[in-house]
Amino acid sequence: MLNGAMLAIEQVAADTRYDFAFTPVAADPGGALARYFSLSQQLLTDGVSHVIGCYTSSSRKEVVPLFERADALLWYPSHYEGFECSENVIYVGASPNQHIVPLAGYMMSTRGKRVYMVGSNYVWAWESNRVMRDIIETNGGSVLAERYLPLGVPDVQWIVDEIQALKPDFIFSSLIGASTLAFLTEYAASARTCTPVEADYAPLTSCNLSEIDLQMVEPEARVGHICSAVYFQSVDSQANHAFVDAYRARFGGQSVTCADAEASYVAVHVLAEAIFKCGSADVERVRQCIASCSLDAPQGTVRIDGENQHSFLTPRLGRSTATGHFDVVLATSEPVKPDPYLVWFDPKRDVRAWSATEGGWSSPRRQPLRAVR
Amino acid sequence: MRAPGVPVFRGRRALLLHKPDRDRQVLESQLTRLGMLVECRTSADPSQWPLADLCLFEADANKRHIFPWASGEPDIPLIALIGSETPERIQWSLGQGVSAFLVKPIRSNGTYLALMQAEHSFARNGRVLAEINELRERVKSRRIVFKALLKLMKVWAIDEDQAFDRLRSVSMQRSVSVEELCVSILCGELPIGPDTAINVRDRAVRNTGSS
Repeated sequence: MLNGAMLAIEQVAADTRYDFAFTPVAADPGGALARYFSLSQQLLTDGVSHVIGCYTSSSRKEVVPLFERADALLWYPSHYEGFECSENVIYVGASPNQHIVPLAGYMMSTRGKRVYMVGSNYVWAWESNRVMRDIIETNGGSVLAERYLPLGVPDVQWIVDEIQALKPDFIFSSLIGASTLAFLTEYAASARTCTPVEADYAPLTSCNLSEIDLQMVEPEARVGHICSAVYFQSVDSQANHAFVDAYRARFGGQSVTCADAEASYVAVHVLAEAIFKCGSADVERVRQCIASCSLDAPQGTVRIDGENQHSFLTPRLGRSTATGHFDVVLATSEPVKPDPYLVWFDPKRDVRAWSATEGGWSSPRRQPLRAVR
Repeated sequence: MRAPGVPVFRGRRALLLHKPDRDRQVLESQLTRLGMLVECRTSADPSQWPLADLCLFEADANKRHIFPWASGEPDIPLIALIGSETPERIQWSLGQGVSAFLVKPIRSNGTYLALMQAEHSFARNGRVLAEINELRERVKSRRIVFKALLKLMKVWAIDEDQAFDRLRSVSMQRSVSVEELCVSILCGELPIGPDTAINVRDRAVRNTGSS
């Protein structure tokens, strides 16, 4: 996230169209919730009016009241579970109708309706699993188990054992951090021990698996997972090639981009565009003109929905490869309107809408998922 | 087990009774985001009540709102928007039968929570009241059941258990409650002499038993 934002800040400074530049003030809470509060308070007291940051929903919820009181803007660059809409937050990451709903529709149409759910024990996994369960059960499927691990706990062997015993059609994981890495590794190890008959192993699906996670595990643990996200480094567009090249030039040839880095990058550029348009960094003026700003982002066109301050984004499904990247299996042709409260969600209709065969996907590479090894 | 459904607020009609200010504006946009059709008024016009699916009202308005139903028994879920957390205002609101509160200044956060809470407690309250009414009716009719039992015991020279078994099986055949059946018996609508419904089944059972 920091890299994506820093790169964009430097690009804005170098852009001759703009007669202003941002002064970055970095603060690192180190993942400690209480530090998010105190550091945000410090930033706001120091007169910072636009803050890009927070990854977990718990950290965002910790600081939102501070931004509301100071009438500053928090640019939140992460996909999340929805059900929030603060006037003082610009939600640049994906809403639930842009990640979990497409994933559920696609998996049910290609793999089946028996799902095993596992997640880190906090609101992201609880709510994502609630939506997944609703979709699965409304459509006659079943949730074989719903398990939670405390944040940061790598003890996943019992989860893998249970999956082997229950043989679900697919696994839905909302694990984050160290638990994700441990799970990828153990699950790959268990796949190696299964017989050829069982080689059609349940794919691991997620809305938060990133290139960064994949780079941190062995190549054999990287392959064949399905992730629903609005951005992958492999997106084939001019804007993304430029982004990836600039990112590598700035942070090293081996560095990889991911959805969170892209969202932070997009956040800075949209802010710059808004300031350029309204001629001021004043929060109210930026908020007023933000819906009229549109960006040719690495993922495609991004704009903010004036109704709810969430973003129009392009849902994609990626299948992970041994190199630690994702092949884009499907993508929509147009950005999708955000629906943070799932107001327009219908579990039956939406499963059809996102199925592999009759759904709203428009990729030329529309193909059913094959066995995952 | 199927997960409990989440209420769908899309398309619901909300009557928002509040003076035109920032609180009303924030609440109106949040309700609209949730797909609701919002009617904003400072005070309600009688013609609006039948159109509303729920009502959010200013609990500390200068002029108290008057609701078109018996005090404390609203026909639709009520959410009170409260600025002064004083016992008098809270008690008055509770007395109107509100299902949830929203504390001012209104933020977009908290609205969804209040809607779900109101929906849940209004529905539960309705179920509990219906159950209480049903039980109340049953208690009231205990005397009637007792009298009908005595009548059957006397006419057919049977004991209390046998009389009650017959009442229950006929009530099931006719799909009426035992209490309603007893009223029919006592007011003579259902004769209990020979060849009546009450004893036909009994004779059939005896015949089967003896063959």
